[in-house]
Amino acid sequence: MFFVPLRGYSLGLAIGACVVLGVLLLFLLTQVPHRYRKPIIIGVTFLFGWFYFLEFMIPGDRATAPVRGILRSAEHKLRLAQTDLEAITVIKGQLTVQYVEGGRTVKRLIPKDELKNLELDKGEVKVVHEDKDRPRLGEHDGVRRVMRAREIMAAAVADLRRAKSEIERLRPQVQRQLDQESKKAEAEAKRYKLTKEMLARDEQGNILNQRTKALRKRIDDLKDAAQKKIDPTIATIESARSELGNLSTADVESIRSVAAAKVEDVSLARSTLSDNFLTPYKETASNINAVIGSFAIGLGVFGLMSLHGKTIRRRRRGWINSLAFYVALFAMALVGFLQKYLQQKSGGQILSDALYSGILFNGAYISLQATMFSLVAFYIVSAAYRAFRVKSREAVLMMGAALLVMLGLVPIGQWMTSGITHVGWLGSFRLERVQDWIMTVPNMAAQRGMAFGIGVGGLAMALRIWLSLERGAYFDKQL
Amino acid sequence: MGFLTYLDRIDRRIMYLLLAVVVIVPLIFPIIRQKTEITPEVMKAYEAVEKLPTKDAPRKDYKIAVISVFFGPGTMAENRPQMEALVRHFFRRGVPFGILPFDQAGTTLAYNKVDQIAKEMNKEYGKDWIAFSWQPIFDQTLQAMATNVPRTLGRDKRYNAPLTDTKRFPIMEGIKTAGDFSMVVEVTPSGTVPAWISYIGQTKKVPIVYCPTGVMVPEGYNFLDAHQIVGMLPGLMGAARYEAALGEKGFATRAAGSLSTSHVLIIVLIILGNIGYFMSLRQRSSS
Amino acid sequence: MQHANWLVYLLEGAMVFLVLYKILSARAGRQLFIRRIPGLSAIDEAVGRSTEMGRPMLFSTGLSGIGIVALQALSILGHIIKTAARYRARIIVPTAEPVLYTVAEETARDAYESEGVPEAFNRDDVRFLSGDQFAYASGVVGILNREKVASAFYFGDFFAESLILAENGQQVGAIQVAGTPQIMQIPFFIAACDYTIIGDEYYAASAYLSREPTLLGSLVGQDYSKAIILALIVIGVISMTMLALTTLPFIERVAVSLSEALKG
Repeated sequence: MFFVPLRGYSLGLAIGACVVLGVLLLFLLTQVPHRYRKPIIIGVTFLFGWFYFLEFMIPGDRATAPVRGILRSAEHKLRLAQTDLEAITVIKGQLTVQYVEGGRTVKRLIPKDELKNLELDKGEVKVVHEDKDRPRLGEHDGVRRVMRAREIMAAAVADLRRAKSEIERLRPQVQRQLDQESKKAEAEAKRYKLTKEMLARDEQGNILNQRTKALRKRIDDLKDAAQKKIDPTIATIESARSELGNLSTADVESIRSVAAAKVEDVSLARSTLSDNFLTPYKETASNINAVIGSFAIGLGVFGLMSLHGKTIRRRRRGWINSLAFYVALFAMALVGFLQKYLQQKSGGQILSDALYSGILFNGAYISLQATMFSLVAFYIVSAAYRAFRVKSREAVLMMGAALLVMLGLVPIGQWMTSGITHVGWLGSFRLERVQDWIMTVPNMAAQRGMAFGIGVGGLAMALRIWLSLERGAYFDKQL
Repeated sequence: MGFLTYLDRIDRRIMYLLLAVVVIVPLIFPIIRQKTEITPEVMKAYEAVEKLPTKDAPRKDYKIAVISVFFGPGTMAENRPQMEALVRHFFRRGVPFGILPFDQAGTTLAYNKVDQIAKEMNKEYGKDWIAFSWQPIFDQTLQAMATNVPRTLGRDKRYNAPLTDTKRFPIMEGIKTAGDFSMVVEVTPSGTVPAWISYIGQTKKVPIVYCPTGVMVPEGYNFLDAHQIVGMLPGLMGAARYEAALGEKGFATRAAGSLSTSHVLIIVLIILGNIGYFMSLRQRSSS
Repeated sequence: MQHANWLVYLLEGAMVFLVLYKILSARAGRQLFIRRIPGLSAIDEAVGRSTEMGRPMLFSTGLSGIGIVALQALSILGHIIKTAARYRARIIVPTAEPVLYTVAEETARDAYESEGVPEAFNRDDVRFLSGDQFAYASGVVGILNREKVASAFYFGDFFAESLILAENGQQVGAIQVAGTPQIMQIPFFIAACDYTIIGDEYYAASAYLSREPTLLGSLVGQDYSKAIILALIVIGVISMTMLALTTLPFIERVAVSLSEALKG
C-alpha cells in the first residue's frame, strides 16, 4: 500500500504528511542529547555502507548459478589456451623501408616496432615490403603448446555450448515468472485505479515495478549473453582453432589477441548474470543518498548564514566580508531564479545572459576560481625554491629525479636531447624516455606500496567502527 | 659574496613576477617552436579512439562514447584543452558522444566549448553529440548507469528533454546500459577514475581514457600499467601531444611553450637557491 | 554487476581475522611496539608554541566528507583539542562539508568537556566554509592570515588546494603538520610543511596518540595483512616467471587461477 503511486487529494495528503513527519523528525533530532548524536550519525552513515558491502559480497541468484559456473569454466579454459599461446615466441617480421636522407634515397631493413621511431627521426618513411611474423615453435615446447591450446579451445567451446543450452532452458522459466508478476502488477493497477501516466511500461506492455524490472533485466541479460557474447565467441574460437591446425600459416599473434578479447567477453557475460536480490535496489539507494545530500547542502547554508549573521550583528572585525557573503548568496540565487523568468520576456534573454552568464558566472565565479587555482603555480615556485636544497644524499637523488622529470615533460627538454636517435638502445637516453621510465618504474612501485598500506589501513579502521571497537578522542568509549 | 648569499633568500615577489613574465610572453609571442613528441600513453589513447565505432556502425555494434567532465574553472586551463582535443577527434571520425558533467560550473564550460566546436565542424546536436544534465552525486550515478543510462541521466542540458525521446535525440537510440558505451573519457582534476574503473571499466569492459591534471599524472601510470585504462593525456602536455597526433595546433600547443619556460625558470631558481645555500653555509662556517 | 569471488572472500576473511585477533591479544595485555612518527610527536610541540605566542591554531579537515578519512581526522582533532584545552589555547576548525561540520562541532564540544573546561568551547570556532574546493581554500587562507595562526594542522582529504593552504601557512610563519591518504598531495605537503605523515601513518595516528590497546592491536593486524598482500605479489611474480620458463600444469593452473581471481 505504501508504494502505490498516488494522485490528486491523496497525493497532496501524502506530501503534507511527509512534510509534517519530516519536521517532527528534525525537531526530535534537535532534542536528542549530544552524547547520542554521534552514534546516530555514524549508524546512519554506515547503514548505507552495509548495503553496498552486502550487495558486493552476496553471490548472484541461484537460478543463474549453473550458467555462471559453466561460463567460469569456459573462461578458465580460454585463459589456459591464451597462456599457452603467449608462451610461444613470435619472431616479428621485418620491414623494408625507404626514406630520403641528405638528398639521397636510403633503403633499409628494420624491425616492425622501430617504424614509428624512424618516422620521428627521418620524417616520411615508405614501407616497401613487410615480412610475415613467424612463430618459433622449437622454443618453449611450441608445437605441444599449440596442440594443447587447440584441445583446450575445443573444451571451452563445448562449455560455451552447454552454457547456451542452459540459458535456453532458463529463459522460458524467467519469462513465465515475468508474466506472473506482470499479471499481479496489472491486478494491483486496476485495484488502485492507477492511470497510464502513473505507470511505466516496457515495450511488451508489462508494468515496470521493481520486481518486473529485475525479471525483465534478467531476460535481457540472458539473451545478450547468448546472442552477443557466447555465439560470436564460439564462432571466433572455432575459426582460431582451425587456423591453428596449420602451424606453418597460423598467425599466432593475432589468435592470441583474439583469445584475450574473447576471454573478456565471456567474463563480461558471466558478470552480467551475477545480480543478487539487492542489486535492483541500488538505484533506490542512490536516490535516497541524493535526497539526503541535498538536505546537507541546506544545513550547511543555514550554518553559514548563522555565523555571518552574528558577525554582522556584533560588528566584529571583518564584518564587511560577512556582508559580502550575504550579497553574493542572494544575488546569485535571485539572478538564477530570474534567469528562467526573464528568458520568457522579450529582451529578457539578453538581460539574463548579461547578468547571469556575463557578470556573475563568467565575470565573477569563473574568474575567481581560475585565480585561486593559478595561485598554485606561483606557490609551487616558492615552495620548490625553498624545499629543494641539497642537504643530504637523498635530497640530491630527489632533486635529480625531479629535474629529469620536469625537463622530460616539456618541449625544451625534448629539444635538449633531440640529437639522440629514436631508434635502438641509444634512444633510451632521450629525456622523454628517461622521464617515462622514472614515472612508470620507481614512481609506480612507491605509489603502489603506499596505496596498499592506505587501503589496508582504511579496511582496519572501517572494521573497528563497524564492530564498535573504535577508541580514541572521537569515540571516547565504545559505541 | 653578498649577492651569492642573497640567492639563498630571493624575495618571492620577484620569483612570482618572473613566473608571470615567462608564462605570459610565450602565450602572446609563440617563441618556442619545437615539435611536440607523442609519448606512448597519448598514442595509445589516440589509437583507442581510432578503433571506436562511428555513428554509421551497424545497429548491433552502435555505441556512444562518454566524456565525463569533472573540471571546473580552476582547472579549466589544463582540462578543457584535453577535452577539446578528444572532441575534435570524435567529430572528425564521426564517433557519437555525450558530455556527462559532474561539476556545476564545468557543465557550462564544457557545453559552451563543445557547442562552439560542433558549429565549427558542422555537427548536429542530438545526432552527433549530446550534453547530459549535471549529475550531483558521482558514485551513485556510476552504479546506477551500469543498469539504466537514460533513466539515471534523466534529461539533456540544452532542451531539458527526456533522453528516452529518441526522435529528438537519435544518438540515444539503443543506449540502455553502460555496456553501450564505446569509451569513457574521464577529464578530471580529482582522483575519480578508480570509480569509473570499478563500476564501469571492469564490469562492462568499457575502455577508459584518463585525462588528469599534471598533479594526478603519477597515479595514472598505475592504471595504465595494469591495463585498467587504455590511454592517458597527462595534463596540458598530454593535450598538446594529442593535438600533434591530430596534426593540429590548438591552445595546448601554444601553452606548451609557457610550460617549457616556466619549468626552466623553476630549475634555474632551484640551482640559484642551492648556490646561495652553499655560500651562506660557507660564510657561516668561516665566521 | 561485479561481485566478490573466492579470492576476495579469502583475503577479506584473512585480513579481518588478523586484525581482530591482534586486537583481542592486545586487550589481553600483550605489549605492542610502535615506532616513533616525528609528525605526530610534533603535535604537542605545535600546541605549546601556539600557547606561548598567544595565537590560535587551525585544524583543517580538507574536503573530506563523513567517512573513514574524516573520522580519523576527527580522532586527531579530539586529541589536539584536549591538549589545547589544558592550556586554554584556541583552535579554529574550518570544514568543507555540512554533515562533517556538525560531527566536528560535537567532537570539539566533547573534548573540551572531557578536560573540564566546557566554557572554553566557542561554537563559532568550528565553521562550515563552503563545499566548493577553492572557496574553502580561500576561506582557510583568510583565516590563516587574519588570525595569524601559530600552528596549522592539515588532516583529511586534500586535493589541489593543499599547496595553497600550506604555502600560506608557511608565509604566516605557522608550524605546520600535515597528513593525508591522498598520495598525490604528499609532495606538496612535504615541500611546504614542517612535518608530514605519509601513507598509512595517517591511519596509525589514532593508535600512536592514544596508545589504546585496541588501536595498537589493529595496527599490528594491518601490518600482518600487508604481509599477506606482499606474499600474494611474490607468488604472482614467481608463478608468472615460471610460467614463461616451464610447462608444468600445476604452475599454469596457479598462475591462471590467480590472474582470473584478481581480475574479478
